[in-house]
Amino acid sequence: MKFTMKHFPLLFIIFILSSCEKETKTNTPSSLTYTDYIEKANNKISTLELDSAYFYFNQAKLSCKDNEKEMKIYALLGMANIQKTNCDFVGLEETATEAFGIDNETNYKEYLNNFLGIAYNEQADYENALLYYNKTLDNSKNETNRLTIKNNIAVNYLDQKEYVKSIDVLEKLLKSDSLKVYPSEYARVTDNLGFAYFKIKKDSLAKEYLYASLNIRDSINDDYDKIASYIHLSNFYEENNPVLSKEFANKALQSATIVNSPDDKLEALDLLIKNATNKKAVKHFATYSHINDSITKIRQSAKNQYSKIKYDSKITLEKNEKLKVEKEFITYLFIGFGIIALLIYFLIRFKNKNKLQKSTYEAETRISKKLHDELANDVYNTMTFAETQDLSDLNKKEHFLNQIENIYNRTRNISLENSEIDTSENFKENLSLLLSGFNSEDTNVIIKNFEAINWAKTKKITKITVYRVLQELLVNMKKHSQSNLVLIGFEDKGKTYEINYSDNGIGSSKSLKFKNGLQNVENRIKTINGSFTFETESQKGFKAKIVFPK
Amino acid sequence: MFSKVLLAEDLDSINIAVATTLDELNIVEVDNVKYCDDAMLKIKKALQDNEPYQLLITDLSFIEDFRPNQLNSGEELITAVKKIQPNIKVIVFSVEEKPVRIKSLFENQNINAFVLKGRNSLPELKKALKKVFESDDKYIAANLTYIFQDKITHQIDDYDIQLIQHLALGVAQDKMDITFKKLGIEPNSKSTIEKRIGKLKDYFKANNTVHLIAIAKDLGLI
Repeated sequence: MKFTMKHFPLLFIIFILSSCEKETKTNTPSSLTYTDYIEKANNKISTLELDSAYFYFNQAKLSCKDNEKEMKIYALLGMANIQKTNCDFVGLEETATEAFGIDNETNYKEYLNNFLGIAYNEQADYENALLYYNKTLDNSKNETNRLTIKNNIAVNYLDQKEYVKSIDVLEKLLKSDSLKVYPSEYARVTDNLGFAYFKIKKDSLAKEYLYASLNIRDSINDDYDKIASYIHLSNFYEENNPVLSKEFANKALQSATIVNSPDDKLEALDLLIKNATNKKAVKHFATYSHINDSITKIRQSAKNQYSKIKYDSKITLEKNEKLKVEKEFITYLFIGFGIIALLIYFLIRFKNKNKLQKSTYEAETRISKKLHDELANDVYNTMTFAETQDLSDLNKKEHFLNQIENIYNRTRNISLENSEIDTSENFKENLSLLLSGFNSEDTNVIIKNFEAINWAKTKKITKITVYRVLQELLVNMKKHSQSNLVLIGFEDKGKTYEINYSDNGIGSSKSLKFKNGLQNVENRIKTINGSFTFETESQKGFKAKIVFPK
Repeated sequence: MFSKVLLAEDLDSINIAVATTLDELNIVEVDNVKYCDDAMLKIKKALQDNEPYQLLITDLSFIEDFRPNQLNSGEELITAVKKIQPNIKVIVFSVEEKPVRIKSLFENQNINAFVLKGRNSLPELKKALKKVFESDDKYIAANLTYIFQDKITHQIDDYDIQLIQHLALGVAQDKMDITFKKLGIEPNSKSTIEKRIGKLKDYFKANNTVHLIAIAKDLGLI
């Protein structure tokens, strides 16, 4: 009963065309790749490379995101159509079911139902087939589609050997005006009706319809559909007129060869075998088996091909997924490293900032302590003096002024000690002026080998440190030591520089203030990776050695 | 004495003190300004009126306030003034004690005198005024003169140390030239050695050679 299939390719070309229209008009696809695949698939269909077309439809389906349901279903429809054409009905059922699984309320519903109907029909599950045909009919508003589906239902009844029901449907169909517009469709209905009448032995009616159909098909020269007419007529004459039956069978075989339809060839050969003499039958049978074998093989390989395409792309998908996961992993790894690096960076910065804040804070507290220790007390004493003494007495006024001057000088010293240091090429002169500044009538500051240090090649921080350290030592000397000789020696020791300080003062081992000053010196020297050692004994002066890297 | 003086100083108390000093010197016309820009304007005006100032006494630092100024320090003021009136004499009266900055005032701004604010500043200012009026010589307080010396006052080198070392070893001063000649140490003339030892005694405040050696030992020089 393979002839029943002959009208479907036409129907599905219409389907595809209308679907395409919908696709471009209403669903502007979000991904270019999807449209590319669909276009390629349709191109392959037009050149009858169905395997490739199937592959591209499958790719199109895979390129869809989860929410692009209609696009996915459209691709599945394309696949289903190809499976149907190649008689892979199990695959067809599967594909249509998959499409329904995505969404069963789309515009494509009627096509899917029709596909399922065909699939069940071909698998001899007539009840289910009828169910889906009826569903299709309910959803279809296109008149041509409705006619085709009604014809399918009639064929379904024929297959079920429900000839009366089939005739009922076909008779109604024949009366519909819209059918007359489509001669090939009209011929098809007429042919099926004739065949049905033949089956219930109404030979005159059967003959009338069968010939009417053949005439229409002859007039529109439809070779493909004519095969059905020939086969039906051959069937009709099989019992009463074997010669005529054989003739029609031969004609069917000819037409089938022209349109290259192996199924129809088989059916024609089948009829010929039945009508032939033994000798001829053997020959026909050989041809029959050969064709049968080859189409079975082709269809099986097609089925395998489709499953393989689906499976392969599944594998590819999984591979891609795996790659994606790997990629993501690497990305996360990089991000992780980035974050850690950033954290370390900020930690270091934070630490440095803390260090800086700490040293700033230390400098501030040092200055504040100095102001308190050195100035506040003296200001208070002077204030008390002015309050309690009679300043009109010249001696007392002089004393008062001396105290004030002392405070004034020390204020300026504090400012000077904390003022900026010029570290440019003038540094050497600045340092020299600093040291010379401590020369006085009472004190000689003697400098040994002042040229030993190449200041031009010394780091800024080192220059500042050396300047401050010598300043600190000399200020201490001036304040507390009562020295009248100070010796400062500079030496180049290859990888390091050495500065030796010594004075002949009272030594200050017991003075707490002095120790604080030394602590400052030591801290400063440490920041330039240098070392500071000193020795002092009461009445025996003070000696210090500063070593720092070049 | 000067007859027309401009005083640029932002502290009133100092203005009063300086005005008193100038008054004592019979300087009649003294104008006070508190901003460098105002000082500049006054000088321009006086030049236009053909009655220019003979002397500018200025501080170095001026406290910044709400008023934006073109000139913000004594240096800037002096430079600007010298451009329009190069012959004006300038005395800087400041607490600035950095040798380099003071030195630069004489070298770059070509000022005539620098007086440090302090206990003796008013008598110092009087001295400076007299000196600047009488001549074109520079004036600076005695305790600041060291800043103009190119070399550090008390400098010694390895030669001096060798000299002291040999004295400590018992070489007599008048035999030192022979020893140095033997060892190839130069210079080794009797007079040079004598001068050097004299310098060292002076530097180290030593009364005699033995004292010098003792001090050098105490200081760790030898």
